[in-house]
Order: sequence, then C-alpha cells, then structure tokens
Amino acid sequence: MEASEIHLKTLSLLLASVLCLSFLAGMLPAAQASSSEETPLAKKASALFNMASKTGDRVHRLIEKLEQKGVTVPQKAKDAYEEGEGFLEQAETLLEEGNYQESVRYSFKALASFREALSRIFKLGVLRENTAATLKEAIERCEKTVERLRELLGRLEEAGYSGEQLEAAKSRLNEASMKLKEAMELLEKGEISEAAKRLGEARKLIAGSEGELIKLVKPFHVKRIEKYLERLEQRMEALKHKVEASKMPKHAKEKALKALSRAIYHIEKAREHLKGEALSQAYGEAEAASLQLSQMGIL
Amino acid sequence: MLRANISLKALCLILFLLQAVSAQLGYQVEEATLTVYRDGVVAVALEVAMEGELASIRLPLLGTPEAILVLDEEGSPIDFTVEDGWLKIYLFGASNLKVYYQTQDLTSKRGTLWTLSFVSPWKTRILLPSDAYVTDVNVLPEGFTASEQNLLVEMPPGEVELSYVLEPTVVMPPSGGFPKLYLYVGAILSAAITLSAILWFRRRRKRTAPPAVNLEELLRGREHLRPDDRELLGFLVESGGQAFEAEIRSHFRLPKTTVWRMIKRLEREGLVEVSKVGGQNLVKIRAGETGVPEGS
Repeated sequence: MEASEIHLKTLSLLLASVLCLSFLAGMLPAAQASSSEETPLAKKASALFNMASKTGDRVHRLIEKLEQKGVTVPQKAKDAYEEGEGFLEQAETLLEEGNYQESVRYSFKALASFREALSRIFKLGVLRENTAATLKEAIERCEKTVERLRELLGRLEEAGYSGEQLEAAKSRLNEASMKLKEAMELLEKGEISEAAKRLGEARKLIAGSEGELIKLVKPFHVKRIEKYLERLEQRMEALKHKVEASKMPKHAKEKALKALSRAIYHIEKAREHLKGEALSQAYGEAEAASLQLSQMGIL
Repeated sequence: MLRANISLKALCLILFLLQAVSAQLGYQVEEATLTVYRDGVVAVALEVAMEGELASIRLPLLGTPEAILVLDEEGSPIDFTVEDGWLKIYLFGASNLKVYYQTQDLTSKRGTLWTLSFVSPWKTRILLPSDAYVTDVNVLPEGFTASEQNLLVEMPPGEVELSYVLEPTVVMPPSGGFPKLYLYVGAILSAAITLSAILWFRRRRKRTAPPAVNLEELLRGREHLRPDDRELLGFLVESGGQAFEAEIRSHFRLPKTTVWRMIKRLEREGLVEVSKVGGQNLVKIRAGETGVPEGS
C-alpha cells in the first residue's frame, strides 16, 4: 500500500468520525426534545383548543346577535355550531386526560364545524364587512407610522441636524397628523368616504416625509461606516505589530502581512468612495476589508 | 483510488459548506411579530441580535416590503438594500436591530375568508384583529392568547397558513321607508319595554319563594358529572333554581365559552333549560328535576 493511500484512508477515517460526531451532536438536542415532547404537545393542544374555543364563542355571539335582530338563523348553521361545541367538549375532556393527540383531532373537528356554521350564516346575505372598523384601523396604523417617523426626526435633531429638509419633513408629518385627526372625526360622524379621502391625503404626505428622511439620514450612515473603518484600522495596526514582532516562519509572516495590506487597501478605497459620496461602493469596500479580516480569524 | 479521492473531496466539500453556512448567519432573530390589519396589510417587526461585529447581514423578507425602517440599539437609522427577496442591512458594528416593514403579499381573500400564508425561518407571533374568528390553521400553534386589543397566535418556524374571518356587521334589508322619527320612537319604546320586562322579572324572582331543590337528590346517579358542572348546579340551587348566564360568568369568573359549555353539558343531561329573557340567557333547573319527589 502506498504511503499516500494510507494517508488518504486516515484522513477519510478522521472526516467520517467528525461527521459522526456532528451528527450525534445534532441528535442530542433532538433526543432531549423528544423526551420532553409531552409538554410542548400539551401546550400546543391547549393553544389549539383555546383558539377553537374562542371561535366557538364568536360564532355563538354572532348567532345571538342575528337572532336579537330578528334574523332567522338556519337550523343547519345552528346544528353545525352545536356539533362544534360537542367536539370542543370532547377535546377538553381529552386534554384533561392527557390524550393530546386526540384532543388536537377534536379541536380541528370543532374548527371545521364552526367554519360550516359560519359559511351557512354568511350565505344569509345580511352580514357585511365592517368598513368603518377597517378604515379606523388604517388611520391608527398611519398614526403609528407618523409617531415612528417623528421619533426618528427627534433623534436627528438631538444629533445636531437641522436645516430645510428636516423642517420640511417635520411640517409634512404635522400636516399628515392633522389629516389623520380629521379622518378620524369624519369617521366618527359616519362620513366614511370623506374619511377615506383624508386618509389618502395623509398617506401621500407621509410618503413625502419618508422621502425627505431618506436623504436626511445619509450623514448617519456615513458616520457609522467611518467609525467602523476606524475600528478596523486600529485592529489591523495592533495585529501588524504582533505579526512583525512574532517569531513565526518568514513565509507565514509575509502571508499575514500581505493579507493585512489587502485589507488596508480596501479601507482606503472605502474612504475614497466616502469622499466622493458614493456610499454603496464604500459599503462594498468596507465589506471586503471585513471579509479579509474575518478570514484571518480577527473578526 | 480515484473513487476514494472523489469521495474524500465530496466529504471535504460537505464539511466546508456546513461550516460556511453556520458561519454565514451571525445573527439571531429574537422576535418576529406579524400584525395583521383588517385591510390585509401585514406589518412585520423583527428584533435581531448580532453574534459578533459584522459588516452586513442578509435577512429573508416575508413578501414585498413597503415602508422599511431599520434601527440600531440606540434607535438610529441603518442603511439597507432590497435584493431578490432579501434585505441586506449594512450594520457596521450595530449589535441589535429593529426591522419594520409592511407588506400586502401575505394575505389573500376569498369571499369573507381571509388567509394569511408565509414561510418563515423563525417562530412568529401573529397579531390578528381582536374580532377575528380563526377558522383553520395548517400546523399546531405554540400559543394562543386573546386580549381586548388582538388575538395572539404563536406559530413555529416553517410554512404557516392561517384562515380567519373578521366580525361582520349585520345589515338588515330596508323596511320600506319608515320615517326616521318613528324609528327613534320605536327604538326607545322597545328599549323601555325590555328594561321593564327585566326589572319585572327580577322583582318577581325575588318575591316568589325559591322552589325546593335538593342538590344531593339532583346529583344522585349522576356521578359522571364534572366537579365544575356540579358547582354550577350548586350555584343554581342557591340562586333559587335559576340564574342568568351573565350572573354565572361573574360568579365563577370564567370565560363566556367555558360557562356556555358547562351549561350545554347540563342541558344535554336534561338538568337545565335555557330561555331568553330580555335578550339574556336564563338558565333554569328543569321542572321535575328538582331532586325533590313530586307532591312534597
């Protein structure tokens, strides 16, 4: 047997054992999970039961609401609901007995029955989507966006930013906020289409101020990358001294210093791009420098 | 020899790839929250922690994003680009991130049924409108909480498909152009009648002597009844054989559905009957089920 062949076999054995070990390591948490699986399944079965139970509650309330308004709910819908409640009851009993798999099965059956009841109720044609509620939620969502953008503007002001763009963004947000307030008032009066119109106007203003903000935050991004490049440089300097002072073989030393100089080259390039306001190219060079260092095991 | 060499190379490649994949991540999504709005818009909020000082990371996007905002641990904005379903974030040292965006791609609607579907590499917290009815789910949820603000469904990583219906409003067909004034007067009158009916009923309940109900007799031969159902019967006996569903709920401090199921169980046993009084459910121990021999 050739020496290279023996070497190869040893290597294969070594790799195979590494693979086995990684496989076993992967199995360990799985084994632990399966031994304690009962608890997660109990939790999941209980969550599903609670979900189905809530749906049952809602269907029950809907039937009641319809009957109070004098709508005749079809018997088949009521039967489907009752059937669902029956399944839920079984699911609950099974949950208490610790038979989680079966409890899950019954909770799903309950959901199917409630779906059936709902589809029969919806076929009555007396139910309509709650447009006012949808609109109210959309207004509230926009209000949240305005709030978040205002916070961001506040941070910019704290950091010493000022100027026309910041003022323009602020006034757009204020205007948007006013429009949203008007929209909510109109909605409360039942003037849905007018409220929707105001919401649309507010959305345009928000989009405008978002555009202003993108331009405004550019200095933040520049500062962030500059600081990062500084930190990289400091680390490289320290490493360079270490390599030069070390007693490693000459060729290894040369290799390390070469890698370091490649990283320094990328940093310099990044700085050049920053001067030319070419942010995306600067990002690319900073990433290349970072990659160079992480390959050397520094980052 | 050649075959051994190839398999060795393949092994090396697999090991290298495994190493590369695990090293590439470098971050942990600690929380992924999807807020589902009534108009189908989904707001995604991610909290991400970095493992080490990284230049950039790539996060998979759930849907086509709009209004993206990435903030660092101090709330300062971070730059990003969107690349083929990925969000590339230029961290340059940021250790924690908050990522926000909205998307309309995750929901679809068929008739009144909404479906939320996505594939997530992380566990997700789904916040549905509080009046949503979850009608189906493709995998077992890890948690479910209902609050006044919303329904929280916690889902495991992977493919998620959740169907729901939103609380509709009841729209009655027009009743032939009744003058508005009559409608108002009618509404006030009917409210007054309902109120007086409830008051009259309550007074009557107080005045009339409670029917003799013997709990022990009532439970005889019904050992299979659950302890909570027995307690409910006990409460009904104490309340003179009848009580409103709302009274039962507030007495036992139990959710509506739980109480309703208890009542339904007793109804199936033939022990109680439910009737409507002034729009409320009145639960009564059935006549002849007082546990007391007739004529005594």
